[in-house]
Amino acid sequence: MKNITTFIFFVCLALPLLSLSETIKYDKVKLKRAEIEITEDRLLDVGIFIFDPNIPEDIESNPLVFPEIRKAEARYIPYHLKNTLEETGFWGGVWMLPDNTKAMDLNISGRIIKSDGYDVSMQIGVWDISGKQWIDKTYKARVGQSSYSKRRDLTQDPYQSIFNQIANDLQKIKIGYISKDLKRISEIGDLRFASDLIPSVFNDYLVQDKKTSIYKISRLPADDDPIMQRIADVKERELLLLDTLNEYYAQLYREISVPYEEWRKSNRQNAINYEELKRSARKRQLLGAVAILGGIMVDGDSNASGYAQQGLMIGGMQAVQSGFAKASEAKIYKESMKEGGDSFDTQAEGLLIEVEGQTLRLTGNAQEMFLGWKKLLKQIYTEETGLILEEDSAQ
Amino acid sequence: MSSQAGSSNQQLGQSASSVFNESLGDFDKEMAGERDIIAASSQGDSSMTAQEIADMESIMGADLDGPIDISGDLGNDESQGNNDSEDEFTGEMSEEEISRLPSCIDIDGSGEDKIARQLRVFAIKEDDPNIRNEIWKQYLKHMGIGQSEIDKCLS
Repeated sequence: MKNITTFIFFVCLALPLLSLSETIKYDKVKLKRAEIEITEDRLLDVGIFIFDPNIPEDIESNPLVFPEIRKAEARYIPYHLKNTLEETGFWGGVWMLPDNTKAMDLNISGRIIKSDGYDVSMQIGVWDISGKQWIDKTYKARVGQSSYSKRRDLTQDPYQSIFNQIANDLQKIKIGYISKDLKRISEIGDLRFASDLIPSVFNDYLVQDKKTSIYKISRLPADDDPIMQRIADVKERELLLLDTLNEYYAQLYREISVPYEEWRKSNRQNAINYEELKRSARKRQLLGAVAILGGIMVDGDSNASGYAQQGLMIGGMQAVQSGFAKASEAKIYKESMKEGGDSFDTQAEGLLIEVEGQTLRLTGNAQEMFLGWKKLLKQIYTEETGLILEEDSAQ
Repeated sequence: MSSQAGSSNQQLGQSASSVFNESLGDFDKEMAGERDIIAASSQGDSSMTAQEIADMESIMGADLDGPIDISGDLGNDESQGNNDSEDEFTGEMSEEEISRLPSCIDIDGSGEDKIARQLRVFAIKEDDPNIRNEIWKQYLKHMGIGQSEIDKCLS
């Protein structure tokens, strides 16, 4: 009797594992768009850094993370976020950034945590140019089959819910700022840009809080300050450079768009099959083990208990065996994911090399120009004010 | 952007201010040139987003299953593209348009898919020879022609 009770206990333990059906909720987040044109004083320029691809150091033990695909995603995802933010109409200019810049009012950085076409997760950080953090959040979504439908609005990425959620969160925070505060952020941005070019002149215009590291304005230059006008000219060139670089990113985005979606779509299906088979294999193995255990525990000398014992043992062994079969079936899908990933990985590598080459060439050349402008601005300042500037350590 | 802004001009005795302004102009020209190159390669870029492919397919519809009419503008192509024979197709090309076809590209467009045909139309319509060359390059790439063959064809 005691043995039967123990057996029932094991069966009860295994029962929750039998719940085969799983209801998956696919979130659809609607993008909030501006219904009227936003006034100039409420527009902020936004920069989105190339994302951190988060490629594991030990790539051998992460065979389903494909380095070149991740690198391509690290450029594709911020570019699509740029498109989404532009679509809202709530922002000024939106650029994808290869490197740090002081030309933006708001900077967005991101890290890809998971992206297999089925589950996507990314860590997003947003700071304004004063140093204040707006967002530090992990966004997650499970992508439904309909997100890959050819009949959907094809401007919408399969991961669109996450992009919409980020855009909506940003808008929600911005709406809490009065126009004066938004203008102040832009002014801090102008002064930080100026301070980057001629630190010895503009460092005093800003103070940085020692505890929070947030910048505040201590004084403002005159509206008609000629050196500020020249600094604005340089800032315009930085934006022009970013416009040009963004053309290259747009090319990569276009080239990768279709094969990337195809990869995500097929990888999604393989990932679902793989996970389901793995789960099913585990369940069968466990139930088989419980049945075998039950068989061992059946006590008694009667024919009936003998048959029951035999039945449980045989049934249990069959369940364990079918569990192993499911596990090896799962391996096929894993291999299929590996194969598909490797193939797109190679394709992505070629596209990335081209864009990265162009980006390095352009930014390298522009860097020389900006260094030249730094020197010239100092000379102009001295010529116009008669003040000799200290050597800037930044140079 | 061959040198740092202003270093050589200043040796010629120009004021820092005029060197600064001049270098801004140089930079603008460099960027404009860069963007022209990008635009030229994008115009002939055979890769499109899913939306663009869907749009193009819906515009071109079944018309592109037959030989393409390149005599009118693109809008007219849609309504006039049901040519039934090669003769009709080549017959509607002006001499100038035929002269824009590189010698290695078949006049009848055999073996082309929809994207290749679209590229052919763009190339033939393009007046700027540099941009046209870029589009032909993309066309040949799309047709699976190797780089050395492309260079030979377009040289």
